[in-house]
Amino acid sequence: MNAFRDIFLTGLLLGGIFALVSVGLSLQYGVARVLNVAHGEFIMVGAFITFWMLGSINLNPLVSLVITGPAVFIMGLILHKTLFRRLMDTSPSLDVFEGKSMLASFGLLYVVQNLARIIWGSDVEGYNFLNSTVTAAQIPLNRLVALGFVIVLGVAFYLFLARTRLGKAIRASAQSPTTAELMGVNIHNVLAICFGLGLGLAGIAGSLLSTLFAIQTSIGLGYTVIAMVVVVLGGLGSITGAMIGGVILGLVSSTVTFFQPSLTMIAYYVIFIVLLLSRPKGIMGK
Amino acid sequence: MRQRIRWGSLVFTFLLLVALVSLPIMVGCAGDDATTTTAGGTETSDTSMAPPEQDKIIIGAARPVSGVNSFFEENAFGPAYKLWVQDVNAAGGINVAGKMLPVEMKVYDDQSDLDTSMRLLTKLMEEDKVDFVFPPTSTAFLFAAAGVANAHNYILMSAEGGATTLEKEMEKGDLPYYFQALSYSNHDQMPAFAEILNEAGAKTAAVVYLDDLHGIEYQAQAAVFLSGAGVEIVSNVAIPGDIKDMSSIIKQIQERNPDVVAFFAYPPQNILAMQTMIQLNYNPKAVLLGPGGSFQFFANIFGPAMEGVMFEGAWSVNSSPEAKAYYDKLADFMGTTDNIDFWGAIIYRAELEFFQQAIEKAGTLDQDKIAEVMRTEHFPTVMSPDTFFTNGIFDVSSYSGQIGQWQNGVAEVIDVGDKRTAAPIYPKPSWPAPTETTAGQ
Amino acid sequence: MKTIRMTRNRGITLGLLLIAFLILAFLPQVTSGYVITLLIDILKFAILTVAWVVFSGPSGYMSLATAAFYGLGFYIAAVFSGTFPFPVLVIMAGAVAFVVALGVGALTLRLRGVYFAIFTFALVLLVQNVVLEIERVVTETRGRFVDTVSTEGVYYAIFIVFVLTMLTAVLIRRSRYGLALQSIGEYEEAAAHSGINVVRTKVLTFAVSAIFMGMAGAVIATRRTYIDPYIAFNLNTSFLPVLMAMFGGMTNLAGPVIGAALFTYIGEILLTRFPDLYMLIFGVVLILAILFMPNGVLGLAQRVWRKIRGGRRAPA
Repeated sequence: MNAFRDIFLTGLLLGGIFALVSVGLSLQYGVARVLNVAHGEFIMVGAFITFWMLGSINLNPLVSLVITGPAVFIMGLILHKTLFRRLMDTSPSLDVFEGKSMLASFGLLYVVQNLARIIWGSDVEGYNFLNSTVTAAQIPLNRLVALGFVIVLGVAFYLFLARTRLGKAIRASAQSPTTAELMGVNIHNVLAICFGLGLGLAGIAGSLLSTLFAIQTSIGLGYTVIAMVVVVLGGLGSITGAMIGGVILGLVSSTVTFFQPSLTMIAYYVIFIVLLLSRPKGIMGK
Repeated sequence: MRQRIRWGSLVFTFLLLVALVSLPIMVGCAGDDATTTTAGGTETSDTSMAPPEQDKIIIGAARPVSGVNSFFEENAFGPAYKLWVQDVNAAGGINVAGKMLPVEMKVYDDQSDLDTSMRLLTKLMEEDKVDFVFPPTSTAFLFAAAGVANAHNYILMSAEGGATTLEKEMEKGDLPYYFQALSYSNHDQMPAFAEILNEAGAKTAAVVYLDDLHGIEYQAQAAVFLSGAGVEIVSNVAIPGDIKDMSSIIKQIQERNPDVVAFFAYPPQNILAMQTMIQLNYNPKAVLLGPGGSFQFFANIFGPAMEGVMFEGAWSVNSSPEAKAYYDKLADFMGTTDNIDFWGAIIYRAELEFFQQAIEKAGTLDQDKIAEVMRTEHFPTVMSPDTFFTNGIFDVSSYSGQIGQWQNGVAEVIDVGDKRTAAPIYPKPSWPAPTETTAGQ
Repeated sequence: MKTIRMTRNRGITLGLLLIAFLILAFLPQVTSGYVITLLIDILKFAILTVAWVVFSGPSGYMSLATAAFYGLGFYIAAVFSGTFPFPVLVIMAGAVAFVVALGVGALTLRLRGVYFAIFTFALVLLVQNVVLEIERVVTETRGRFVDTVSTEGVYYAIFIVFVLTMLTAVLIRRSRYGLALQSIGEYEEAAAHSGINVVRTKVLTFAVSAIFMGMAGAVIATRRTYIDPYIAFNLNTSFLPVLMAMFGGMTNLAGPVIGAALFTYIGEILLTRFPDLYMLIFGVVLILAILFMPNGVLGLAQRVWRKIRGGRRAPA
C-alpha cells in the first residue's frame, strides 16, 4: 500500500515537472505554429539566470521567477518579430512555415547554447534549495513547490485565455488566423505574444528546475525531447493536454522506475509511439 | 510547384561543386610542401642523437571545445595540458638531443561528436603532420582514437577515459602506441575499495549504476572484489542517464539496509542521488560516488553533507608537497578551486611530465623510440617519484591513491597502506539537518 | 533550335558528370590521407541527404528516422564483424534497413505533417534505448569493437554506394513513383482519387531510401574501432541531412549533393579556424540561410546565373 502511495505521489510530482517543462512548447506550437527545437535552451537560460542571481546577489530562486519569466518573454517577442515573422511572410503555406521555422529553431539552438557556454562555461552547477520533506509520505518540498507553481500557472493561463480580450484574440488566432485577422485582430502581434509567453514559461520552468536538478549549459535538448513527448501525448497546442500528458508521463516513469529503472526511457518512447499511432492528435486533440 | 531548371545553371553549379571539392586537394598539396620540413616525427634519421631540424614541437588534439563534453576540455585534461605547455615553454622547451624545442598546441573543436573527432585527428596526423597527438575526451572517443592513432604510428596516451574492455585489445598486441593513464576499475580502484570496506568491517553493499560503459564495468568489478572481501551485494540496480527521480530506488535500498551504497554514475545522477538521500534522511554507513564525486564543486554544492562521502580517485593536497604545489599552481591557473578533480588532475599532469621525460630520454621525436622508452623506463612525476607503465597501463604503485573521502571539505586518500593521507571515517556522520539555500559557486 | 541547345547542354552536363566520376574514382591513386578522409565524410552526408530527399523532398513528409537506419547499418557491421566479408555486410545492412523501413512505413500511414516528423524522431530514441538495454542485459557491456577496413577500401565502398544512391534517385524521380510522390506532396487526397496507390508509393520509396542509409552506416562503422548506441543512433545524423538538403536546395538532385559537400567543407574550415566560435557561427549561418536562401545554394546560384545571362543578353 505504501509502495502504491509512493509511486502515485512520486509520479504526480514528476508529472508536475514534466508539465512545467512542456506548457511553453504547447503554446508556441499551438498558436504560433513554431515547433521550437530550442525550447529546452530557454529552460537552460532561465535556470542559469536564476543560478547566477543566487550566486551574485543571493536572490531567492522563487523570487527570480519574476525576472527570468519576463526576460525570456522579451527574448521571445524579439525573436518572433525579427525571425519567425519574416519566415511566415515568405512561406507559401503553413506546412512550409512549420518546416522552416523548425529548422530555424535549430539554428537558434546552436546560437543560444553556445552563447550560454561562452558566458557561463560548461560546468555542472547546482545548489540546495528546500531540500527536505513534508508529511509522513516524505514528499520532497522543492518538488511540491514546483507542482504548486505549475497548477497556479495553469489556472492563471486558463483564466487569461478565457476571460481577457487578448486571451480571446489568441484563441481565435489559434482556430483560424485568417478569420481572426478579418475580425480585426493584429495577428502578428498575437503570434509574437504567444511565442513570447511560451518562451517565458520555459524561462520560469528553468528557474524552478534549477532548484531540483544539476544544471549545465548542454541540458537543453534533453528537456526539449521530454516536452515534445508530453505535448504530443496531450495534443499539440492544448495547455490542459500538456498538463495531462505530463502527469501520464510522470506516472509511467515512477511506476517503471519502481520496478526496473533502466527501462524508464524505453517506457517513455513506447507509450509515446503507441499513443501517437492510436490517437495521432493526442489525448485532448480534436 | 515543380520548377523547371535551366541546364545552364546546373552546369554552373556543377562547376562550382567541382571547384569546391578540388580546393582542399590543392590546399592539401600546398600544405604538404610547407610542412615536410617540420615533419620531424617520422623523418628523424637513425643516428638519433642528432638534434631535429625543426625549431618547435607541434602537438595536435581534437578536443570538445563545444558540445556535451566541453566540461572536460574546460576543467579536466584541458587546463592540465595548457598549464603544462606554459610550464615547458617557460623553461625554454623540451630538450631533444641538446636542442631546446618549445611546444605549440594545435587544438580543433570536435563538437563532442565522434565522427568529427576522428576526422580532425586524422587531419592533424595526415595533413598538419603534427609531431604528437593528445587524446580526445570520453571513453568511446578514446577507443576509436586509439585505433586511428595506432594505424598512423602515433603515440596516444589516455586522458578522460579508459575502460577494461580496451585492455583485451591491448593484450592482443594491436595497440602498441597506446598508453592508459587513468586508473582502471579492475587493477586499481575496486580492489582498493574492497580493502577499505574489509578493514572497516562492512558486510553488505548496494550498487546503483548508470547503464553506460563506466557503470556496467564498475558494477561488474565491484561484484568481483567486494564479494572477494566478504561484502555481500544485496541490491544491484541499473539507471538510465535521464533519470529524474530516484526516491523509489533509494527507498528500496533503505529497506534492505546495506552498510554501503555505491553510485557508479555521473554528476547529474550523483547529485540527484545525494539530494534524494538527504531528503529521505537515509544514512548508510558509507557512500561512494563515481566520476564527479571527486570534484571540488561537488563538495561545495553539498557543503557539510559531503563529510565522509567517498569517491573514485584519488589524490589529496596532503599526498605530498609536490601534490600540494601542483594544486596551488593549477588553482591559480584555472582561477578557481571549484573544478579541481581529485581523481584525474594529478594523473594528467603526471602523464605529461612522464611524456616529456620520455622524449628527452629518447633524444628524438621518433614515435617508436619514444614509445619504447615509455614502455620500459621509470620517471619521477608529481604523482610518484617512481612512475612507470606496466603493459601499457600506469602501474598501480605509481598512483597517489584509488579511493578518496571528503573530510572537512578536503579530499583525503583513504586507501589501506602508505598512500593513505587520513584514516577513513566509518560510519560516516548523518546528513546535517537541511539548512537554507547554499550556492555551489 | 531550342531542342538542339538542350541536347548540347545536356551533353556538357553528362560530360562534366563523367569527369567528376573519373576524378572521384581515381583520386585515391593520386593522393592519400586527409583529402580522402574528408571526401569519405562528404560522400557519407551526400548519400544520407540524397536518400532523404528521395522520399521527403517530393512527398513533404519530413522524416527524422535517418539515424535509425544508419545506426542499424552500424550494428549489422559490428555484430557480424569478422563473420562475413565487408561487401556482404554492406548489402546485409541495406536489406535489413529496407525491411525495417517497410514496417515503420506501414505503421506510420496515419500520421501526417509534423506528427510524422515527431514519430520518426522518437523512433530513433526508442531504438537507441532498446539497443542500450539489450547490450546491458545480454552482452553486459555497452559498445562493440569493429574490424577496420583500409581508408582506400572504405572510400571505394562509400563511393559505390554513393553512385548507386544517385542512380536510384534519378530513376525514382523519372519513374511514375516520382510523379506519384510529387502529387502526394501537393495534395494527398486528390492523388488517391486519381488512382495513385498512395500507400504503396509512400512505403516503398521510404524503404528504398532507407537501403542507402543502412549501407552508408555499415561502411562508416568500419571507420570506427569502437561503437556504442549513442554513436550509432545519434540524433545529429537525422537532423544534418535535413539541414544540408535545405541548405543546398531541393528542386534538383544536385542541390542535396552541393548542400552536403558545402556544409561539410565550410564546417571543416570554420572548425579548424575558429574552434571556439564554430557552433555559434554555424547557428547564425543556418538561420540566415533559411531566411535569405529559400531555395538553398542551388536557388541562389540559379538566380545569379540568370542575372549573368540576363546581363550578357541585355546589350545585344
